[in-house]
Amino acid sequence: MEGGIKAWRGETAAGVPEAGMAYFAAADSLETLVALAWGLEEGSRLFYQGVADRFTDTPAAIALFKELAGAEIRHKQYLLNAYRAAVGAEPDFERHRLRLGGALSGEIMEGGIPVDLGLAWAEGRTTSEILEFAMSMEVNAYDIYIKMERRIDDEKGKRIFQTLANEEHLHLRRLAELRETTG
Amino acid sequence: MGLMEFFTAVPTMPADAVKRLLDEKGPEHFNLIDVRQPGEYAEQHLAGARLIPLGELKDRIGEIDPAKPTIAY
Repeated sequence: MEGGIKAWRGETAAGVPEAGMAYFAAADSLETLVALAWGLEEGSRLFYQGVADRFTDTPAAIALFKELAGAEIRHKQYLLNAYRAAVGAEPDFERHRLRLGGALSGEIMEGGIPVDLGLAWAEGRTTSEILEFAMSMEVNAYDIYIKMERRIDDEKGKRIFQTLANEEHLHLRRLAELRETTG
Repeated sequence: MGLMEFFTAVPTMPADAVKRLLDEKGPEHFNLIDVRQPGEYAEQHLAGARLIPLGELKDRIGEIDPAKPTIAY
């Protein structure tokens, strides 16, 4: 429901950047999906680091956003290591530049939202609003990795995305716990 | 094929359209899911809404009847 409970009450709801659910063509290769995942992790890292540095003064939120930014760095490294282990070769992300564009440089975060749009939205928002937005991003990250896992037949490839899906679910829970204690 | 082929918008419905739908057909014909946090649900929620916070959705997906349309807020 657009605008959530605020819209139901007749209040104007703050416009959150519209996230998209992911879908994939059957022909996507493991390398394409790992390249996209790597770029989205970088985009999410930039968002978390940005809001921690500029848009909240709540110590617990700053700590969590920085922790999540660090987790995204670990996810990027995990993707590279896991791809090498699964395929026995280095991934060549640049081959996918035409299709993935700025996402390979971290311009897009999980949910398909441009990082600059997410950060522009976060300016002047309350910590609770930013936490809610981050939760929606993590839900989309969870969704995207579940779908990537389904698209890959290789067991090692599947495990890459299962691991990331579980991690994103943990992030979601952490954000939800903090949201519950942040009025 | 470009990047945005990977993302497609989730269908959303304005609050007044949800009200009309619930009034016309009755809330029992839908999965009306409140995905906010328990404190927010306790403060106010839509009549008939079931609380399944986003962080618990993965583990409680079985509570949603797949035969009915789902409205989440």
